[in-house]
Amino acid sequence: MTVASALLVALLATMGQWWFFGPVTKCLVYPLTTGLLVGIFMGDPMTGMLAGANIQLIYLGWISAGGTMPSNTITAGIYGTVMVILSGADPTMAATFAIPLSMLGLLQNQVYMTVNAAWIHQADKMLEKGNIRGVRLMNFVPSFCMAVLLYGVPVFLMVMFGSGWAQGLISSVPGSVISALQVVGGIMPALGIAMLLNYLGKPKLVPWFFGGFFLAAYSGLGLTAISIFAAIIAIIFFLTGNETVQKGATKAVKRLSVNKDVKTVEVQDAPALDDEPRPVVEYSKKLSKSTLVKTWLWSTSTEACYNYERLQALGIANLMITPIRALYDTNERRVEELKKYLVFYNSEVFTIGPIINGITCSMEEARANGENVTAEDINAVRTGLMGPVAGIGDTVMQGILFPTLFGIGCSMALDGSYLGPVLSFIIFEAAIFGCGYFMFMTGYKQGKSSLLRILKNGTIDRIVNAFSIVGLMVVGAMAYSRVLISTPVTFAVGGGSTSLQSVLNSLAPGIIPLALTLLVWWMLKKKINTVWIILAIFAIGIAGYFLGIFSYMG
Amino acid sequence: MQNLVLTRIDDRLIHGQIMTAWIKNRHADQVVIVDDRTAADEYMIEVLETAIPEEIAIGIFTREEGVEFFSQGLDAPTILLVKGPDALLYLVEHGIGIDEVDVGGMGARKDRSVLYKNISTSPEENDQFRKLLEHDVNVFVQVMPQDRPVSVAEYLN
Repeated sequence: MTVASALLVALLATMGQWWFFGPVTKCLVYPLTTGLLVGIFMGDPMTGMLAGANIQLIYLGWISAGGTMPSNTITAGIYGTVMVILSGADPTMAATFAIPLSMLGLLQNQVYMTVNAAWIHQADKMLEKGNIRGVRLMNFVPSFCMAVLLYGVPVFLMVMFGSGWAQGLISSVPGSVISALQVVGGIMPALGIAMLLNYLGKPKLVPWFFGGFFLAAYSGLGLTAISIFAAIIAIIFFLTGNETVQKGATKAVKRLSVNKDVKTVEVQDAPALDDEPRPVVEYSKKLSKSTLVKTWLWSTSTEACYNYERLQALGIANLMITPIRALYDTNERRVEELKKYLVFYNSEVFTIGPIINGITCSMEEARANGENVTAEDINAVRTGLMGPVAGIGDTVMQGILFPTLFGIGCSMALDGSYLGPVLSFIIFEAAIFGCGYFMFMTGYKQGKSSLLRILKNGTIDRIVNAFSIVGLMVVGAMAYSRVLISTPVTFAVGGGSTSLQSVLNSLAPGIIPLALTLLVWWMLKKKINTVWIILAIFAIGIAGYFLGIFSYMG
Repeated sequence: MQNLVLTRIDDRLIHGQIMTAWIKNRHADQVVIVDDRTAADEYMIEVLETAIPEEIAIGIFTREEGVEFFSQGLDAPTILLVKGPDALLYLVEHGIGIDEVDVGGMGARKDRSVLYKNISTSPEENDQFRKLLEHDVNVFVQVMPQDRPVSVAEYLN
């Protein structure tokens, strides 16, 4: 491999963890995106895309919430694809490489998040000395260096010098073991699918999963076609207010009272209790449109120096520099106002979260114009809202939008279409950052009550429910088309022999993939740790192959 | 206590980990928050009530109300959320049977120092944890359901 290839892959791996600018870095966490990019950089885009899609399938249903990382998909996607290309292995082997790498990657992530806490202490000191630029510097530079060291350097060495070693590794493994691992790779997508089924599958909605599965099995329709039908059903339900997706025009709350009664209350879209209309008084210091747009743009780098101690605090302080410079004249005052933002903060920061940044800007503007808004008031609102907003943001973005779009993207990619990774990337980013911009501006214009208005009109609930249907149908269809296991068992009937698979096919096509998916779902419901489930899949696949029960259907 | 499926200390009360993982993992039907300040804040009550999924019942109580509520027993699987150990100690000292406490999120603050990974506590909070342990409450750190619970006792000294 050339130095240029190695450098580009190293840069990609660095930016996979150094989240300096959301629109660039958000999708670098996802193997479907990084697989194709690694492939392009190493001169084999098709293998890269196929490897990335195979890895992505395992991790479709994994949600990282609140600064935790259940498995490092950055390392799994980038390092895993590099291993496939270097070794010349079949892309279906990608899962076998990716899973141990993702666990090793947890260590990289932990070191990164731990060491980054040091930079926020440096930022504290610099701000104490009146150095505002220092806060920006600390948000971006040291965390970049850490990411280069932890992610960039190892993959650079791997691409430059790992080829002989990787090929040796593959050639030393007997062919039968490779075939057994392919069977494992054929079962592994059942994990991602079952995790989604477990996540999206409220009892009322589970039938849609089977709908998707049997539609794919009997009609032979591809996933794109099925997802289009699913989207149409969801849109009809959404618009007509079908009971499944919408209980009423407003949001219902089940309120518990002290004597254990549960009362269902329809909350009205009426003004909130403390909803003073935004004062019409012309402020002497006003945030201009361009300052607001810039502030929103900075909000996409809230997680550049993500760390265990104060999570996103440094990123928030960094983005508030822009409005604070516009609102206050002296350096002393700016420093004073910035200090309050260097406290623990953690929310979902791209999709719904920017509403909090918008509300903060409006409160900071009122404060700068002499209204009675204290620093404590601002932080009370921020710390009160960050949790609930993250709950909604994680649900919408990671729980619904991402798996649906990337599930379809994976399927297109595995059919050999470059549109899979490209379209899922474009639509996903347009949706989350478009929504984020709207949230930011709404938060600024309407202040504290904006969030309540959005929550109360029930739109978010309806979107979640409608898209859960799409997600479940897509996932059902994927259980049929992406869990690639059949049985080679034959038995003698009369003079000839009949294959068990043909008997099963006459019962219902895809019954083995369905059974395996439901088995993994059952294990998840039994709260068995995912590490054990992964090991169980390896055991079932390897034993199934050597006992002659399962074969890979590629 | 029967039907108390999770008791959790978490600064941020309801957020991504609760909504995407714990509610589903414990099959909870209701979430009860015991926190004096939140119970007095109409705005936060509205935010929390509207943020939680529609099928989950939610109650936001002061400590006194919390004692009253839990002393009647629970009919449905319930998650109890508090911001710090003091509220739990109050409940336990008023006869509410809490067997185990998950410390899920206590962020860094000026008066706190790191206890374990991303969990920070103040000396007063450490004392409250010790008292909870004396009441035979099993206190552990477990951020997400798939994490291994780590006992807090050994980190308190």
